Amino acid sequence: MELLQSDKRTLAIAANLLYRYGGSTIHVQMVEYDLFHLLVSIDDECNTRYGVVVAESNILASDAYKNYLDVLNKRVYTRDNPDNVPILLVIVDTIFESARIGVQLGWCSAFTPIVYNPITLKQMDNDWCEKLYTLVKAMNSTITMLSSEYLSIQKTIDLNGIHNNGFRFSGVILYARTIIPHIPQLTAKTKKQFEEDTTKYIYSPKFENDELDNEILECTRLKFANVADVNQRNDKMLFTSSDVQDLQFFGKELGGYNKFRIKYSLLPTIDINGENWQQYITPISLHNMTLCIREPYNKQWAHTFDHQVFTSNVNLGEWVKYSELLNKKSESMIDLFDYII
Amino acid sequence: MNNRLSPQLLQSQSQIVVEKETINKNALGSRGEAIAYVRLTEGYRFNLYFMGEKAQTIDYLLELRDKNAPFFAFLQVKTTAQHEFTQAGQLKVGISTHDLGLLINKPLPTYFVGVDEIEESVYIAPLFSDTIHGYTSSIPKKYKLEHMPSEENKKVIAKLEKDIICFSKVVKTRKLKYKTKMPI
Repeated sequence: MELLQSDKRTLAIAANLLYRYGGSTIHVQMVEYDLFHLLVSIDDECNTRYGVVVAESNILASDAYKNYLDVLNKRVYTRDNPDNVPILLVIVDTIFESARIGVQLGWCSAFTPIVYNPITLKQMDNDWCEKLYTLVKAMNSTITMLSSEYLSIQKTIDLNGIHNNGFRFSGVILYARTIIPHIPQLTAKTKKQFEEDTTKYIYSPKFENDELDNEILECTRLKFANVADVNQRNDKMLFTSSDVQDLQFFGKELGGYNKFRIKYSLLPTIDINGENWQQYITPISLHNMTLCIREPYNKQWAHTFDHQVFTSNVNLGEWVKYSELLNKKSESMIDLFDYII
Repeated sequence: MNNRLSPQLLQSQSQIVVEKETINKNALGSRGEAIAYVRLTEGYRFNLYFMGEKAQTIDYLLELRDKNAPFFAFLQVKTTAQHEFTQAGQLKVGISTHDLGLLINKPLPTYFVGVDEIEESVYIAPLFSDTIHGYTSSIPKKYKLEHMPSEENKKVIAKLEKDIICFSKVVKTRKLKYKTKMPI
């Protein structure tokens, strides 16, 4: 590859890491192409393929990388061209033989290219590589059903307000709830239940909020009281690869927003004055939520979530049972942070 | 600038099916070759050239980077995903008797490289010593490259480098008086 040069050891380290975290069904080969060094083929139902451009750690600030992005941006992508594969950037640390990886060129609806600049890079590990695989697979023109653990309902809470400096700001809180708990192996009985539940959700016109969703909405209203209007959007089901693609596209629209993982801590209502009773009760922690919000809300401000405790309407007598219920329900929350790249 | 992708990406659907069948078969071998490449190039003492699928019995041509001693060696890489060892602690990965014979007869120093895919470690054994007992089922653990860069790895690589130099120097000394049969 002429645009970004990499020595063979760097390529071999990248290939080794791709094999390590890519599972037993991938095949990595070196290719003679100007946009990427390695072509990864995955032996799955839609024959997923993606290109990998490999570089060393100092590349992001270099002219060569800017030139590469220029080429990606100016390139004419024609429909149905087999060359149209997603491209991932792998930045290799040759000393520690580790790497960071992210999507450099993505595809929406298999025809519209998206060049990610700035790119979201994360340390290569099983978790991140699995998420990237889901994203890359979603870019394929073949629509496939997501695996059962990812079948979920996307919950979106919109924030619109005016900051005290007079500027309008907007934000969004995102999370997803799995439809069914993770089933390692479907038996005849669970399979039937699974099909019934899935069918019910697909044809359901609206997904009802449960106690957990209501608490999250209420906490959001308290957090942004007198600052922003808080409204919940219609829920959306994450069912196929194209739904993940939509989510990815939504993430692209939120490009200028600051992105944080947030959590809410909940305590019961207690009518005791003057006592420091809070220290005797373990708050319920609701996490796996992603907040995308415009300036002036930044990273420092996001830490206010870590120390703030909200009070639920549930009183102390019912708290033990209620916390058990919410803790169990919170297991069904899926973190969408990594899909908003 | 090359604007066309390699022919692999332009293949027809039937070719994809055929390729799919071979992917799993070759994936372990490819992974092992990548692991071996990374481990053997630790410290940048060697250049490794992949010989391609069609090269019989040889996977890599190894070249010393030292300009004063630009010697070569052949490597045969075999990978196992079983992570099993013999009672003597040898990694259970073998080379066929036929390949072993071909490699021993090569005019360059040849090494058998066993890769433990689970541990990502690499074992090296020379195929030109008098003490070869045959590596048809396992490879000794004496010259092992750990899965990450380490001082021990450096020592093994230094030993390999010295071994190749010594072999080549001995061969060169013996052939010093040879006159070409293709005079110009």
